[in-house]
Amino acid sequence: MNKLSSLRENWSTWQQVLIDSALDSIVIIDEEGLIVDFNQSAEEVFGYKKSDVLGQPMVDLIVHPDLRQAHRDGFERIRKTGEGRILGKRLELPAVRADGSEFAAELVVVRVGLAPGPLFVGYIRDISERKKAEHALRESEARFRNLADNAPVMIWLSDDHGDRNWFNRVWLDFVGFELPDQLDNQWYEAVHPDDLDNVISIQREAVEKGNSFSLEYRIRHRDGDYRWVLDNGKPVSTSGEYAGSCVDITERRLAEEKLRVTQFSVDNSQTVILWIGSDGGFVYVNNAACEALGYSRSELLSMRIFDITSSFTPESWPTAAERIRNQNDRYFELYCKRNDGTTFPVEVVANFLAVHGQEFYLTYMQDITRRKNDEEKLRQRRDELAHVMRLITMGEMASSLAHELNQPLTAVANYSFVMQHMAANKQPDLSQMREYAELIGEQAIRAGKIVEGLRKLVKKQSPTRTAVQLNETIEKVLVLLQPELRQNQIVLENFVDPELPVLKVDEVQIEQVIVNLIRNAIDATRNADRTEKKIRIETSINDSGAVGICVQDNGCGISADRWETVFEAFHTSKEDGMGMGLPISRSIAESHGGQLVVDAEDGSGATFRLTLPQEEGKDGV
Amino acid sequence: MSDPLIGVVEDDDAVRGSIVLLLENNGFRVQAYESAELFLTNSEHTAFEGLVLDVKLPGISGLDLLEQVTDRSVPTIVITGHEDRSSFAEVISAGKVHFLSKPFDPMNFLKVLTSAMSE
Repeated sequence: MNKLSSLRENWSTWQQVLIDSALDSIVIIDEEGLIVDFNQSAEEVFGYKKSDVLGQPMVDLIVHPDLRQAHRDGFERIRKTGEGRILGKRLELPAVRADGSEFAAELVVVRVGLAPGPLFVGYIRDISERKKAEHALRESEARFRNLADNAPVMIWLSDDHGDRNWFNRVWLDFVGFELPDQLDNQWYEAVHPDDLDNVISIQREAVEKGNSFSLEYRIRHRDGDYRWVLDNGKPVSTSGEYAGSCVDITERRLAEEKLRVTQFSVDNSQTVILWIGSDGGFVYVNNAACEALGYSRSELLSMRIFDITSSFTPESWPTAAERIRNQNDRYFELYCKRNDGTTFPVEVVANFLAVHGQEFYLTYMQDITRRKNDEEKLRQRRDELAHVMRLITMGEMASSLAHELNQPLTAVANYSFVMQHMAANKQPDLSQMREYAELIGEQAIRAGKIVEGLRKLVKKQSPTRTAVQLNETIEKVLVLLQPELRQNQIVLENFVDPELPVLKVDEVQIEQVIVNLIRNAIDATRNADRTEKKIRIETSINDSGAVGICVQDNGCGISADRWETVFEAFHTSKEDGMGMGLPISRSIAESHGGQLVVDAEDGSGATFRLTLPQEEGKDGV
Repeated sequence: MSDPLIGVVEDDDAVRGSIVLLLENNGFRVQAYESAELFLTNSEHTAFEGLVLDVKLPGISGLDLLEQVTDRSVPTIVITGHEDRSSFAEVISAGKVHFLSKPFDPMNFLKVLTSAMSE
């Protein structure tokens, strides 16, 4: 017996086996809607025993209650007309189990026309798991869209050709596009024309190799301006799709451009610019620095500040740095040493800046060789002028000084004459003679002092700074001025501070200033109608340690509007004056880092104040 | 007969002291003053036989003092620095006045004074 005839003979058995072993649930109903078969899978899916449901109306068992009426209507129509919309179609419907629970079912119903009546076979599959998965996918996708749309960055997706087919809300809002516009690479229209070729080629190259890419280009903002964006794309699936994000970096680009301009201007500044680190090493040097110092940039960057100036040493640097940090000492002058060993003077301005804990001492240096030379020339001229003025002053004083010199000489002549006569005696009074000899000695010294003072003021000598006690200087000056004071019956009050510190000054020039001030005071008192003519000299130390010399008279005074003009050249109130005394005196004071000011009232005297600092500031470097 | 009395007006201590010494060592009595003002207030009733006056004095000068001294017949030596003598011409012609410049020769000073007094 062949297989086929065996199959035919046992068809009904085979049929049952096929139905029962099918993976899908199979429910067969007759024309009345009563169940005629219910396979094993159906038993598992619906939770009914086949024996319990045979002969029962299917609609009441497994059709969802909401659909039962529709089912009855539809089934009735099929029975009457033989036509059914649902027959042979794949349907998805909810179904109910024996325990009343619902599930999503996929089913196909076919009509089998048999005698005595047709049967309806339903193939039913539980698709609740698949539905759940689909739902989950939809949800996850919706979540992604939602997330991507609301992310603060611009996000795009592309297909495996790199053609972008989705943009998030931020991106669309940024460029002002709407959804239909974004496909077919229409977004290229928003890219700056100058950047487009670059964008396309880099992106294509990356997509061909499956690489990530990063692009910076300009994209037109909805307001019409082009903005710079950083666009990072990355393959996100094995099928070659890309996802990417864009960040607006316009501010950064502008800052970078500005920085480039700043860098250029710093590099090419005529001022020498050096950035020094906390260890004294150079962090940055500009072109002018390389040129001025005679080193290459790389050489300088391996050097330290101590290599180009002896003003700082590794030991002194921490203190100097602290002074710069605290802005105590931002301006100073020093000498720099070039590669060839020569030196040049510079004026330095230093600033401090800390960036993320790293210290920068930013120094700007200006070569002041020429200024120094000019200053030196100016100083020489001032010194020469001061000398000429001293000669003129001495000329004016010559008459009274000659008289002053004649006084001791007269006394010496008289004493020695008397002594000669005494010596002729047989028994000369030796103790008397000793006394006269002493008097002669005193007068010789008196004459010597006058000559010395005169000679010093008249002699042309290069200015030298020596340690000087100004009280002593005043004493010396008064020797020369005594005759004029006496002649004019002026009472001189001398209040010196015995604690006056020693200053390093050019004594001849300071003497000149004091002579000038006292002679001016003499002139002022001579012209005033006073019963008692007085000049008061006072020395003192002020709060900052500077020495003050005050010359005060009770003469005719100076009206307030002339307080400054008296220090201008060729302004004079004297008939035979040159108007140079006070200007020269002030310039001498200033060359010592000090000052000379007047405080006076018209008609009631004047006070001239000379102030000299103990330590000279910048001017004296 | 007592030694002749000489009045000295000189502001410089050293010069005055040395003149006083010179005169006293050569047979004169001396009354010395620091200024013309002191001379005028203190010597009203003093009969000097000779005067030695410094020209440059604080306040009233030697020449002004000379004009105020009523008795012009008193032999006088005016000692000067190195002022221009032409300005003294008037005074010179007015009386027995002799001029000496500082520093002067002490011997000459005594000679001039003695001869002036004996005129």
